[in-house]
Amino acid sequence: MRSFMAGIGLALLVMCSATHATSVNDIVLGKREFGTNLAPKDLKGKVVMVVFWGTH
Amino acid sequence: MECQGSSLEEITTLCKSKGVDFNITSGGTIKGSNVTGIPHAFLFGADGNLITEKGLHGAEAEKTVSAALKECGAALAGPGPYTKLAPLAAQIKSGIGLGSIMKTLTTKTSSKDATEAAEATMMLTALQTGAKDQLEGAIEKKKEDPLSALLKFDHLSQQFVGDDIAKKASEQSATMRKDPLIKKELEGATMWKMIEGWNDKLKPVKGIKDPKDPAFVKLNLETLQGLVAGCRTIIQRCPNTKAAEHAKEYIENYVPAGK
Repeated sequence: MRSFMAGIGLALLVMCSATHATSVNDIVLGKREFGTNLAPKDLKGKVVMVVFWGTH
Repeated sequence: MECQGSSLEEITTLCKSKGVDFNITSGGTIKGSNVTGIPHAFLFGADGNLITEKGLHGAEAEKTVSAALKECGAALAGPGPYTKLAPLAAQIKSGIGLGSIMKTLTTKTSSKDATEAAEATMMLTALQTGAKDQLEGAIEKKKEDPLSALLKFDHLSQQFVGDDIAKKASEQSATMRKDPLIKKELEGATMWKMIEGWNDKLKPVKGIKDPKDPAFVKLNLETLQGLVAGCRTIIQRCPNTKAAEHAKEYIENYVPAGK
């Protein structure tokens, strides 16, 4: 356990400083249930709202 | 994204009764997201970056979405209608190479064809106004959300390459990147991205990642402890950054689990 945590600390210390932020590329669409079929490329250049929800 | 494992029939019945005209999927996710309750919404801008995952309800949501739509390629072309310059309007919608399109439009504003000249003027004005608004919006955002502002400057500098807007955006980005506070924000953001990646690896119990569920904690204890340790490293190394804020929130949710 200790080695795992040390590993995380070390990894965090040596990372580069590129700009990373959550983007549409992080969206995994899943299985279509309703509406038209969407591909990841369809999301490019558009305003996209993703809502996690449930029927119950 | 339906995430309660409902049947296709349940989803279809509900969507039809509510007149849903958008896409519904199941089994999807957003890498690095930390959804612990539903409904939970995420809004992404036309540049592909996350705008927010907070306050996306009611009037506030409408305001946020309206502001985001103004930056869309379709909005940047202006209201039209365009006949002679329809292909250029389509190019603007793609959001790529807007600097060269501005150059073309500038030439066409003095076209001998009156319709073409009028359309070029309308389109150029819309594009210039949209670009200026985005640049000013990013400048205003520098203090409140420096990382988003920086991403916007970088995006504008690529999108409008060849135009003065790109030059100004590029200068803003270069200045920001020299700022030690921004360097810390960037360092923190990179570290946080890594935490998000590890967070994705947590194994759900009955499809849910609930830190209050003892079975979930037991199953993921080692990873949770590592994640909390990582969050503490961020707070220590990059205090007063967005990443530190995220890390604190994360620990508040998971410390009973991963202490």
